[in-house]
Amino acid sequence: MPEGVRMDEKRLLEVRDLKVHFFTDDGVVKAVDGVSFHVDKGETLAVVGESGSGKSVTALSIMRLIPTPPGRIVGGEILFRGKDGEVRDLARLSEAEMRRIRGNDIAMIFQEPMTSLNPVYTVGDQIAEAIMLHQGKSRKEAMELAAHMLDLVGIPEPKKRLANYPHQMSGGMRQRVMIAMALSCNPSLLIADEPTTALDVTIQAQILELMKKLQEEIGMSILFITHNLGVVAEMADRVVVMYAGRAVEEADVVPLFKDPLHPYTRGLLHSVPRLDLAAEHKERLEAIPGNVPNPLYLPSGCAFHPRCKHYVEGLCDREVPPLEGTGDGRQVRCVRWREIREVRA
Amino acid sequence: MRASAAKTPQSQSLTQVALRQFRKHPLAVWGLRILLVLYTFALFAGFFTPYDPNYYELYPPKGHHPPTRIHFVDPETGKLSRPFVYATKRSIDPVSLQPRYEEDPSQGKFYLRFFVRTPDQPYTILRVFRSDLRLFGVDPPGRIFLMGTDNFGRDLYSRLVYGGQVSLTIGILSALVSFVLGLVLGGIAGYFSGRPFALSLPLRAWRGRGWLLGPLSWAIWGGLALGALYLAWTYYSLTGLGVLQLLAAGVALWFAFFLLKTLPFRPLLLDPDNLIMRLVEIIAAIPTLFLLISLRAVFPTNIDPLFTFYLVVGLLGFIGWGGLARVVRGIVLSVREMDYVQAARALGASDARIIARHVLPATASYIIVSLSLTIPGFILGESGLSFLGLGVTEPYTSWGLLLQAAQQGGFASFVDRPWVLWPGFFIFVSIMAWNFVGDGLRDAFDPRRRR
Repeated sequence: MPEGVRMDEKRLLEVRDLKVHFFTDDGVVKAVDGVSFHVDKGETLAVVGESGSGKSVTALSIMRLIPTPPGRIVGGEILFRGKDGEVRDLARLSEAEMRRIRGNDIAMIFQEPMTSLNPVYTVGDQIAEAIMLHQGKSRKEAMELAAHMLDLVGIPEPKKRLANYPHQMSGGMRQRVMIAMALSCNPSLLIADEPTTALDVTIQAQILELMKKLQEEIGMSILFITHNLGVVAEMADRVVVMYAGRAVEEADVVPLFKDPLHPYTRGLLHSVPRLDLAAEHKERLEAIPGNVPNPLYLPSGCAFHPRCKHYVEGLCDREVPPLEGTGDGRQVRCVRWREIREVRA
Repeated sequence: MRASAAKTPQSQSLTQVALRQFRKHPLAVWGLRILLVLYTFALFAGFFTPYDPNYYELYPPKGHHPPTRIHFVDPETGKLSRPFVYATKRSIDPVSLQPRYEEDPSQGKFYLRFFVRTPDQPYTILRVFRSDLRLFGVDPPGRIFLMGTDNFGRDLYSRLVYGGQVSLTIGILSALVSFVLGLVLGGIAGYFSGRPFALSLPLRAWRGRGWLLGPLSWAIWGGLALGALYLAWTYYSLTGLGVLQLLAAGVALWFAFFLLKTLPFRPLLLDPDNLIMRLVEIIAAIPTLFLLISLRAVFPTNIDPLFTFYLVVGLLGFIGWGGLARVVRGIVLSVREMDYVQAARALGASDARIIARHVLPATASYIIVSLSLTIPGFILGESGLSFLGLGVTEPYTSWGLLLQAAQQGGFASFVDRPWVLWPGFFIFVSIMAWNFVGDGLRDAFDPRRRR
C-alpha cells in the first residue's frame, strides 16, 4: 500500500466501511455490511452481538482468514499500524505480506481451546513453532521462551509442561496455552473470539483476569468478540454492538450500560439477569422477541424493526438508518434514538 | 493429596502407545522377526551364500543338480562326524536324457567349513564394502548346493538370496514411490478442494506481476487452441471430410470460441481436487496388467538391467498411488476444517507448512498401516511381472524370475526337480510376514482394538 494512508497517531486499527459478502448457491449473504470502528493503542474494544450478527466474520476479516470462496472482502479498508510504525491496508495486502502480520503483529485466540491445539505435537512444540516462524530463533531458544510464556500465563512447572500433549491438559489450561502461543511474539493487537465461552464460570473469571494482567504488562490492544455482556462490563473500554452485519451502536462501556440508546442494545441489557433488580421486581426476564433474521432475506429499512418495541410503520422499514453521532462521542443507528432517550429520562 | 497434585502426568506419544500394543500381537511380532531375518540375508547376501549367484562351471557341468546331502555320520566308521559332503559324479539317464548325479566317495570327504574366504569370488555389500568372507562353504572341487542348481548349474540358494534383494526391496521402493505420489497429490487435492487455482488472468488483473503472467497465460491457452485447430485441419486434409473430421473441427472450434469468450473477462479456474481425483479414476479404470505390459513395452528390451529394476519400481508405484491418494484426500478434507489448522493459519503459517506439519501427520497412522499392507502386493506384482518376462532381467535375478525358470520344462520340471519351487516358498513366507506385521500395526494404531 502506498504511504498515502493516514491514520490518527494513537490509533492501532481502523476499520472503515468493511463489507464482507459470502457468495453461496442460495444468494449473496452480506455477513458484514459496512462496519466501521477503531481500536486505540492499549485499549480493549468489545464487539457484541447475537450469533450471526457478523462479529466473528469481522474478526476473521481483520486476520484475512475468511474462507475464500465463498467469502470475500468486497469493500472497505482495514488500516493497521504494524510494529514498524507503518500503516497498511490489510484488505489489500498480498497473502505473503499478510502471513508476516498474522501471529507477529496481530494474534488471535479462539473459542474452543479443546480443539485449537494440534493433538499430535507437544504444547512446547506448538508454542515454539510460533516463535520460530516469526523471530528466526533456534529451537532451543524458542523452547526457553515457550517455557517463559507458560510461566507468564500461570501454568505451574512450565519446563515440565512443555513436554505435555494437549490431551493431558484441562480446558482452562489449554486456553492458557493458546494465550501463551498468541502472545509469544508480542503482538500489538490480540483478537479474542469468544475466548471464554467454552469454559466454566470460575475458569472464565481466571482467564479474563489473566488477559487483563497481561494487557497491562505487555501493553497490547485487545479486540474482544463476545455475546456475553458480563464479560464486556469486566473487560472493555469501548463497545460496538452489531446486528445483522451492521454496527448499531458504539459507546464507552459505562455510558452504554447506563444509558443504552439503540432498542437492540436495551433489549440485550434487559435480557441479562440482574441480582439487584430481581429481588425487588420478581418479574419474568425480558427477552427480545423473535430471532436473528435470515441473512439472505434481511428486513427492509432497519434490520431490527420486526423485533423492535419502538417500531413505527413507514419510518423504520423504509431506509437503513444512518449511524448518527449523538454529540457525546457515541454513535447510534436508529431514527428514533432521541425520543427513546427522552422517554427514559 | 499434595504429593499427587504436584506430579505432572507422564507424556506418552502415540508411537509409544502403538509400539506397546504391537508387542502384544504374537503373529505380528513373529512376522517382524521373519522379515528381519529375510532382510538381513538380503543385505548381507554375499556373506550368507557360498557362491556368487552367477558362478557356474562348464566342466564338469552341474545343471539341475539336486540339493547336496550333508552327512553327519561317517559311513565308514558309523560314528558321528563333523558335517561333510561328497563330490558328485554326473551321468545321463538313457531314457529321460536328464542328468543324474551320484555321490562319489572316492574323491574323499569335503568338510563343511565356516567363515571361509573365496578370493576367486569376491562380493560387495551395498556396492561399497568389498569382501570375500563367506559364512560357510566347502573346499573345491567339492560343492555344496543347499537347494540344488538351475539349468546352468548355478547355486539356487545363492541365487535365491540375491533374488531376495530385488524382490524385497522392490516391494518397499514401489510402495514408497506410490506413497509419496499418493500423499502429495491426495494432500493437495484435499487441502485445496473448493479453492480452485486460476490458470489465466483476465484483463483487469493485469497489474504488477500480472503484466508478465497475464499475457503468458493467454499465450499458452491461445497456443493450445491454435494447436487443436491445426490438428483438426491436418486430420481433414489427410483423410478428407467425414463425420469424425467434422467432430474434431467442432471440438477445436468450440475450444477456441470458449477461450475467446472467457479469457478477457474471467480467470480459467481449475480445482486441483477435481483434476487429481479424475486422474485417479482414469488410472483405476485401466486394467492394471494391460497398462503395465504396454508401459513396459514402450521401453526397449535391451536396456541396462539395473535400469529395468528402477523402471519396474516406477511402474508399480505409478499404478498404485490412486487408492492411497483417495483416502488421504478424505482425511485431509476433514482435518483441514479442524480448529488447530485455523489456529496455525492465524499464527502466520503458510499453506505448505500447514499441509506438512498439521494436516499430513494426521494421516500418519493410516499410512503406516497401509504401507505395510501394500508392500506384499508390490512384491507379488514384481514376481508376476518377472514371471511374464517384463520385470528384472538376467544377470539380476528375483524370485519371480527364478519361478519363471522353474516352470521351463513343464510339469516334469516339478516332478523331477522339486527344489526349483523354493522361490515360491519364499514369496509366500515374506508376504505372510508382511501381512501379519500390517495386521499388528493396524490393531496397534486402532484404539478400539486396544487390549
